[in-house]
Amino acid sequence: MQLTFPHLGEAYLYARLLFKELGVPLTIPPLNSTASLERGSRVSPEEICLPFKLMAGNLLEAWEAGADTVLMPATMGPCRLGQYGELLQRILRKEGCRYRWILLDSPAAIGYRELIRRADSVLDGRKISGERIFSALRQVAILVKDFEEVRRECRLLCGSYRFRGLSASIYREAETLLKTAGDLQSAGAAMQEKRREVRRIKRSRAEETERREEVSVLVTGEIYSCIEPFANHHIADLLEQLNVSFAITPTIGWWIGRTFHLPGCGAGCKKPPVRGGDSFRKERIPCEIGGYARDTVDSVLRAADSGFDGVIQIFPSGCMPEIVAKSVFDRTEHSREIPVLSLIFDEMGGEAGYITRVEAFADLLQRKKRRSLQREYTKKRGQAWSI
Amino acid sequence: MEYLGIDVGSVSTDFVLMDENLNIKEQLYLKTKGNPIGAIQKGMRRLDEQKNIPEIRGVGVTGSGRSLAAALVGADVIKNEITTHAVAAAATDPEICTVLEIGGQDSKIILLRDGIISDFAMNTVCAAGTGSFLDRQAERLGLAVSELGEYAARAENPVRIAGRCAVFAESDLIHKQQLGCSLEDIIAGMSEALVRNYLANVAKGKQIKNKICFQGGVAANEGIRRAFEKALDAEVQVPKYHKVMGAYGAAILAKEKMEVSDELTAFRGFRAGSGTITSETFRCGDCGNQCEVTLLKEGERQLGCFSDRCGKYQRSAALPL
Repeated sequence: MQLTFPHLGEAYLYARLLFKELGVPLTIPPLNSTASLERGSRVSPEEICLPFKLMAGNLLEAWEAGADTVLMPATMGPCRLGQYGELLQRILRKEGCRYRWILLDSPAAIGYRELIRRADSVLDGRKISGERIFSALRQVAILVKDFEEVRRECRLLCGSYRFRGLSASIYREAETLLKTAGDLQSAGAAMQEKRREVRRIKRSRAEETERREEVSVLVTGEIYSCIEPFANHHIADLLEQLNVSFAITPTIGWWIGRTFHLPGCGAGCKKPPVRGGDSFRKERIPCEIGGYARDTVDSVLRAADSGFDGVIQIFPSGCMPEIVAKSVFDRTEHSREIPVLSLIFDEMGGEAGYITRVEAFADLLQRKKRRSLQREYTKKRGQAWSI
Repeated sequence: MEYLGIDVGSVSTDFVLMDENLNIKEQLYLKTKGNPIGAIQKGMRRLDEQKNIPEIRGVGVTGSGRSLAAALVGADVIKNEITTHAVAAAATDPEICTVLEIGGQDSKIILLRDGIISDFAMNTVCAAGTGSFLDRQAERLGLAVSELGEYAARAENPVRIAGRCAVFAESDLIHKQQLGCSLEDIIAGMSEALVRNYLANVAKGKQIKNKICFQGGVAANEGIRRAFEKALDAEVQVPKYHKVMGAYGAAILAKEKMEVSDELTAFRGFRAGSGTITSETFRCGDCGNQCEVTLLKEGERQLGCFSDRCGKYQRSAALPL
């Protein structure tokens, strides 16, 4: 048996270490590229969203590379995503990829017993003690949590003149470490070291009081677009170049914590209570409408209180839950006084349009901040101060 | 001492020469016609042909082809078109609170408070209701774009056209035309559909406050301006230099930057980049990114490079002379 899975951001790095630990042979499909997108969209339904086309492309390429079993977290839901596994199965069978499928739906949908039965088939009859499996999964969960902490803190330092160079290099090191680590233990230990480094920087930054022109942005929206850089035209790199501090949620760690209710894995953004937000949210979206629409609305409502200056919502063209979420906070912008920029992604390869929008958004926030600092300063000194 | 602003848009490429007191000395509005390099070269040649060539203190470039322009002529400020349009509007009249801008491939709304941007929105994935749609319809009806305004003004009873999507709008236009509606009524209906689509999509949820200014290439169309006034029930003004506001804003930003810096301008002169420019696009296979890299060359010399994520080809670019 040769296991494979569709790409989702850095998930393949964790999977490589986990399955190496368990001794399961793994084929990682080539990273998402325009070539794999082309192949995927050729076989996909016309109206389907970008993540589906990318996943189809990944699995076509993995079949050629010799994989025969697909492991896919499907998280059954009212959204189209719940049917992804089934639809992909049919399409790929037509294309001649006779995969065996292991669909990991959320325990809420199929129960823990069925989930464990399905997960067990990944081992393909290998006798591995439950203790060893549990220990490996635990180590991966900790690795995810640590890496995401390093990444989160580093991204929040991108706007700091003093620390952004240092934080960028720590993040690159952490990423390289994840890519090159020989096994799970050494990756875990090295990542803990990086986490300590980041926490040291965080402490020395807390002592710093001057944070004049720094702006920070929350990137949120559809889960695949947030996690997979290819699906959002590498928005993280762009924000880093523009010297904007930012956070991206949801993440893989957030998803694991939310789906499997694991304690200590909810590595996402800090969540202060929403001012009158809970009742507001219930009023606007009274029932689950699929995807993570309610979570998007939540994080937008919390953004101002979490210290963000603006929000960028990203989603693939045709994503219904996010379109609903967008129309909900279109109305809240005025009351919360936080600008929201919505970016919609599809097969377009040209990046000029996205760069323009994000750059203008960063400009807006920076100029706004400079103006309010100017006012504050004038009030304090009682004199005009020009930039 | 003058400042040069260049706006390389999808439909037009505009040039502005501005003096130190923000007065426009010279303006050029050229059609890009799918060849931004050619349009930039043509504009530079025209400026070079002038009798007294001024000394350029700073250059600002904007528009979707801004990095191309920067590689070709050398620029001190490379800014997105949203910021430059807002800066230009605030410079012409500081009391402006709303900027409606419709260009060739995109349309945007910019909200200004005390002369700085407080919010903006831009059309998302589709170019329905932008200049290129009008261009296409004018061409189909056998009219010049500049004539659309006159025709719309003569309309007595504008027909209703579906404006949500350019494809729907076009079939609706054809059906109405085949029913025998007058050309005037159809064109007025099209203007109203475009405005309705703009207000429902781009300007959705935005507070439109007075004064309102309408700029971009489409602002030349009097029919659209009137349709905006009718829909918003407010006065909508079109600035004198509405066609070149992006380039004007870029020149202002270049002035702002050069006045506080002691650097010399990066401008390479009006004759730079006048040779044969070739571009080469290939897919780099050196890593998993598989970037589609574009190299810009003048003869054998590399002028610039775009879309390489790792920066490998950009680093190998020759230094500007």
